Amino acid sequence: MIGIFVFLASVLTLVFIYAALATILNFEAGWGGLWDLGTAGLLAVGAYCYVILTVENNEIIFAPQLPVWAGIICTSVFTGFVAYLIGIPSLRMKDEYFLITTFAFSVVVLQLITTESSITLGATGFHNIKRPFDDFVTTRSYNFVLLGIATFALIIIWLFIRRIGRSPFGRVLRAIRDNEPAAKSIGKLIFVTRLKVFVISGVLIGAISPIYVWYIRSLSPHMFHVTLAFTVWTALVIGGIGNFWGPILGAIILIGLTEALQFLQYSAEYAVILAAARPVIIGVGLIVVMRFRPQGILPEKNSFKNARNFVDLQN
Amino acid sequence: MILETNNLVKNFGGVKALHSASISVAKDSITGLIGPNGAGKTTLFNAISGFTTIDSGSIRFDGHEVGKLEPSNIVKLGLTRTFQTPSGFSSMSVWENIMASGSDYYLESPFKALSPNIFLRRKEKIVSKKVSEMLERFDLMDFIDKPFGEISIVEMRFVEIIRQLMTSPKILLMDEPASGFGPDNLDRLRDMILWIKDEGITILLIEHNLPFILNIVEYVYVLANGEVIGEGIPSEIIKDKVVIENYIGKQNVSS
Repeated sequence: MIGIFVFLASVLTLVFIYAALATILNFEAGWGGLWDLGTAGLLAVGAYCYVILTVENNEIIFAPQLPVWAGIICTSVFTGFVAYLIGIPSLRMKDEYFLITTFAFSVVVLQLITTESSITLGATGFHNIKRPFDDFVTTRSYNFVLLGIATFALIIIWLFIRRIGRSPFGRVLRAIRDNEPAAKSIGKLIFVTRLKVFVISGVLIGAISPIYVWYIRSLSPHMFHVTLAFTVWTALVIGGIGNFWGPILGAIILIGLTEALQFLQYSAEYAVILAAARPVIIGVGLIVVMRFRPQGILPEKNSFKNARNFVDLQN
Repeated sequence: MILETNNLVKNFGGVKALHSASISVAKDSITGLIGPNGAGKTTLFNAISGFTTIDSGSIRFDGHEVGKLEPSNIVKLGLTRTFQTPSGFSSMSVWENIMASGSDYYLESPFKALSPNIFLRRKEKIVSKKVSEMLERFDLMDFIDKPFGEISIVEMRFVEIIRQLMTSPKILLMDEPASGFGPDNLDRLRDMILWIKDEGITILLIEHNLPFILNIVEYVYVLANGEVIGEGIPSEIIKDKVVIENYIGKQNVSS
């Protein structure tokens, strides 16, 4: 019985990590109109930055062995800085060109991580990474600790993004997305606004990357294959792009469903079939949503329906 | 003169869209810009408002040379424009559309979003009050919560004008505001334009509806093939031979 709960906690943790990533992407793509495929790249930058800064390992040439909290802060700042560097040249480009640039960035990051083994340990990567509170609980119950951390992170990020989405800044984002010339004609700065969005996303992705590392417990380049960005995008599109709850619902449906398939693994034979079924389920799910509900299960409309009340009810 | 363009030249490939176009707009006036299709009227607007770069010439607005500035910077100096096809943020409500232009850069920082609710709301309320006043004045209150993409083209034009007015301009450039309007709405538009003028905002107007524009403007420029072929007060311009040949056509004038 306990086994099921342990398993469920682990699935939920992954769901929440993806939900957080999809929430950040919603901010960027849903309101900011940035077609970003670089999520995997930035997550890799964050994860490696965190591990290199905190790991107790003498094999790499630079290991300051910072405490966990300092590692997280430095990682957020560094990932935000990388986003800034990527954003300056790429944000001047339009939709699909921006998409290609961020995609390329992801690929380059993976390549760099694989080749620079003096600091990243190359394709081998790091194993048995130390996690906070590891010494206090058994490995089995650690799943619950991690679920707590992931839940906390998701709530903070969700509240933060919702706050920004409803603020005047969020309104400018949607305005720029809807009509760039009109936004210019009322004096909005397109490039600067987008750069802010991109850097904020970078900082947030950096902040949750350690949770992903703790979840997997090891770190190697293949964890950050570009398909990760596609999965986050799919979750967002299924749930409802632009809606506050869309990314969370999408992650629950997509990750929950594919991970729950492990329940059905009675034999090795089944396992192979089920592993092959996962991309099929994602694909079919995406087609069904696109066909019958292109705005996603929860459309954006409902998110800002009462935008005016935010101001007017305060009389 | 609040706005002066001097020998503006703009080529699109081999096509001379503007060919030494020089106009000047007096402060607090309503000035018209007419001309046949393809005369370069919209290109001239785009050049003045920074949406098109110019090949040569100069644009002086209110003591600044704006020929090389970005649209957003030109708006901050007090020059704003509307578009030939009414433009807006289609997924956002009419209220949000106008709020977006009424709130300032300072309020729109992401860090301001994290400041206490009370602070943001107080600032937003000030802008929101102005939005409601404007919508009330032009009889558009019914549309306040409708998405911009779902209102009629006539309302879109009015909302767009209000949105641009929220940037507190010194001059407003209007690109064919009356196109697609019936007689009732033409009267509404005329009242609106006259009200804007009374607020101390200079207006430069492109329009194809000659009875409408010649009735309302104090001075008019006629553009053809990228250059000014005539200018004057409306009652004189309709008698000008060159203008008649190029644009109005003989029958229209004799009647």
